[in-house]
Amino acid sequence: MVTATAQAYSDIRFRQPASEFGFEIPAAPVQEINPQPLVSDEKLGLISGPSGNAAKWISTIARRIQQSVPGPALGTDDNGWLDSDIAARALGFFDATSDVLPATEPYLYTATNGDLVAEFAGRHGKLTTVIGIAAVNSFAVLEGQIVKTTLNFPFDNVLKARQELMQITKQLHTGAHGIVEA
Amino acid sequence: MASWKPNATVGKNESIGRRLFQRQGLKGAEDQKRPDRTIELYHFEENKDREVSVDRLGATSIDGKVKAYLNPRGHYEATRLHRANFRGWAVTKAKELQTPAKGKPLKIAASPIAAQNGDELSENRYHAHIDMLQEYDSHDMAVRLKYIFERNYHLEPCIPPDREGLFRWAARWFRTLWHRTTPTLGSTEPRR
Repeated sequence: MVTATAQAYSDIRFRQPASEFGFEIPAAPVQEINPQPLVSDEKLGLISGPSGNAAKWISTIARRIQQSVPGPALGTDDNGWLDSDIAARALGFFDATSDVLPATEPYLYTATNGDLVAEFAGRHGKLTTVIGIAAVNSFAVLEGQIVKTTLNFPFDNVLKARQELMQITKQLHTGAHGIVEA
Repeated sequence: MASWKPNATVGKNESIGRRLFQRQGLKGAEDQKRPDRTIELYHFEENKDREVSVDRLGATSIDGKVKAYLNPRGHYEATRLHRANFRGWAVTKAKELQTPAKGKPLKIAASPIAAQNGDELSENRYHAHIDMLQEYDSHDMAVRLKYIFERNYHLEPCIPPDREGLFRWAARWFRTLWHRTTPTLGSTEPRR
């Protein structure tokens, strides 16, 4: 009975030719590399979850934040303007975390005290991020329970916050399990 | 029919409304689309104390007389405190707050407000408040309420001030006409 193993088969198939008739072994076809970007390359910004790249919405959001800062002649007393310090912190926060935030573009507005609020929608819930002078608080409600993540300025715990946000984003996309209420 | 006299205890089927005041969006974000079924966080923020004010709009559903009573108070508060337009109420059932499917229950306490300095519009017989949980700050509480309301609410629009004025004018005109055409039933002077 023939009991050829995978290892043996592998040995036979890829053994180097010992004779001068090596040309009889067909050469492996050369794999052509497509220089065109793949569809998945172009959709990186749409992936719900950490992708390693900045989110697709980052430039739009940065523009909206920058355009909401009043010029030197105007104050922030009027509704609709954003304090320049909060805007700077928001831009820093999104630069550091956009790849681990949901892929959908956030809805921006200001809280009563002037903090910037960014609301993300996921398949299984929402993520509400409140960016203030001292910290960024992110709230998610997953299966009816609130999960809160705090990132203090200056970014002292950005890796931990990224991991937590990544986890929340995954749960918003796939559904939550075992969350403890804040 | 007499208007509703609410109990001292808030019933689970009562319609609880949070007043909504329209604010301008971010100046630089006018091109963004407002998501459906969203109530902005600021509608639930309370910076003064650890109580979130709400209105009791009816025993089981919206009571028209209660709404008519509260409507001018909403507009009054808008001009006095918020410098913004009163739009109406986000309304949910009390039980959604008192006995949520998940998370800690929130206590709604009846807390009617008496008129202050003879100011009729400062009175609110249907006022109640939600106690902020001890471990919550203003944002935590606002987020919690936002998500509870967003899960199950309806928007009860206000009566705009101009229409409200028209109704009052029409009621006055009708009273005047009534007294002119039926002089034997009462004074010829229109009531004020």
